[in-house]
Amino acid sequence: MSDFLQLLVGAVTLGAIYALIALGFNLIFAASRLMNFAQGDLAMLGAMVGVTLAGTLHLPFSLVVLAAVVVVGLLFLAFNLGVLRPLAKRNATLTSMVMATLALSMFLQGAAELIWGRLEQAVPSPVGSTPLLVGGIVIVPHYLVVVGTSAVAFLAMFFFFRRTLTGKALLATGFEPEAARLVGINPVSMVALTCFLGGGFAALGGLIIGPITFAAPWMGLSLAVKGFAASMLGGLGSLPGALLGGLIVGLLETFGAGYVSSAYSDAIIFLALMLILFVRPAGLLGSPLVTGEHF
Amino acid sequence: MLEVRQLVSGYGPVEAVHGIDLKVAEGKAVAVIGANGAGKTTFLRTISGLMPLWSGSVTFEGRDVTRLSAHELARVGISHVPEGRKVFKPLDVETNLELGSYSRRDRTGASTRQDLERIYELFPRLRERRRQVTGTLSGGEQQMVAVGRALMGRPRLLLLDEPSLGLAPQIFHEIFAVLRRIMAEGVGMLIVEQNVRLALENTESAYVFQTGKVALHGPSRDLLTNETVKKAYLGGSI
Ligand SMILES: Nc1ncnc2c1ncn2[C@@H]1O[C@H](COP(=O)(O)OP(=O)(O)O)[C@@H](O)[C@H]1O
Ligand SMILES: [Mg+2]
Repeated sequence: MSDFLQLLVGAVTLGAIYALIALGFNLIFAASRLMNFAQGDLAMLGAMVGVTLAGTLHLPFSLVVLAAVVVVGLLFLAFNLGVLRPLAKRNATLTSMVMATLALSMFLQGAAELIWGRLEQAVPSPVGSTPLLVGGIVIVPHYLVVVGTSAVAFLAMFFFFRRTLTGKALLATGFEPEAARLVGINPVSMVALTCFLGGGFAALGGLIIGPITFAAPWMGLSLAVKGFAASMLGGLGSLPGALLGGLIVGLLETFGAGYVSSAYSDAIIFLALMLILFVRPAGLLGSPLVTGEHF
Repeated sequence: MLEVRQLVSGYGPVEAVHGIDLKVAEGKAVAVIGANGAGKTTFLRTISGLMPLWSGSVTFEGRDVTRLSAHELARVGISHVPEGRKVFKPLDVETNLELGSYSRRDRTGASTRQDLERIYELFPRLRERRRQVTGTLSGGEQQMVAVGRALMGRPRLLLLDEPSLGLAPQIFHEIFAVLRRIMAEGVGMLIVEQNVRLALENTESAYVFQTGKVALHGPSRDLLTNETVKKAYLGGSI
């Protein structure tokens, strides 16, 4: 039983990180129907910024969070303005824009290797490392930072989409881009906003997973794969879907590794993904109404 | 209030609309009729900035709006109810309507509430369905949402593309009754309609489009009795 609870704590923590990466992925998809395959490497970049600012320069963690989110958010915004928009203006298909995000992902990994080297590096946690013992279960203090950060990010986004007209306008842009323009919404600014937020949330995910695992230029792929699986599982473009999908992937990975074998945990995630998509093609919380091919 | 001069536009290399001149006088209603493929939708979409204008000019209330893009045009007081309604299907009715006020810079919580009240008064069915997902409504109700959403922008000119398409007579008469109330308040209208009689009976003047050109135009009353129009579009009956 305590084994189970111990695994559960780890699963929820990992899940909270995957949920953040899926959140960024879904935000971008919600406004533009673009699947951003650079999401994992944007997260890696967030972690590497943490290595430098928190590890080497010893800046306060709140400042590091702010810097990572803003720098990576702006980087992806610049990619949107400098690459995706020009592609869209030349009537590129959504598929070729997805390919461009894949190219960005590889570029970021290469650039990070040049800057930070190939080795794993530590990202310091803002809280102590003395584990808390709660009823026989060991809780690393940083786990609470992870879950808390993710919870705040999701609450903020729930508020944004449920309560603000800008949030609703962002969804409307994805559903019916032309009708959105006709009511005065500028789709270019909506997509730009999601690119900034999507990059920022990815960076946040990478930054807070750093103290649990490590940071290295090649960590992006695994984060991308799991964030993507979380997004598909929960429903592409869905906010609650990102949260649910992230948690399920965290559970599958942790319990798969704990009760079966860590060699199979990824296979288990994708087996579950295929089974769920077979029953619910739009994902658990995805809406079949959300289809489209617009940028 | 709206003056279109020599408007030319099309798709890729193909010109679809070949130099159209059209005027909507202050607060008046104008119909555009014509066969399928005559260029009516292309014309409206070009005015709205959804499609690039190849040449010509568009003036609204004395201001040159030729180069404005669609979201900017919405802010100057023109609302476009697009062909096929294009409601935000996964969102509920009230959110669709609220989004109609997006273009208004002077929007406040109170003004939005007041405008919503007015739309619910015009379309009482929408009040009943305010929390319903719009994609689950009937075609007629979705058209009401599309019209209501456009009205939420408090337009001075309303562009309507085939508002009666696919709807039962009872429903489109209900919608046109609302449009007449809006007209009576001085809102100008440019109505594209395949239901020629409905269009001519509800407007002051009309333009007949044929293969991207204006074939005929004049007071709607006269076109209703015009032999060519009768033969081509009214089918002699009803
Ligand atoms: N998306 C499109 N791509 C290419 N040609 C189009 C497109 N839409 C319409 N057309 C062509 O433009 C012309 C005008 O069409 P349209 O404006 O839709 O006519 P209407 O609304 O009067 O039925 C037609 O010849 C039509 O085939
Ligand atoms: Mg048409």
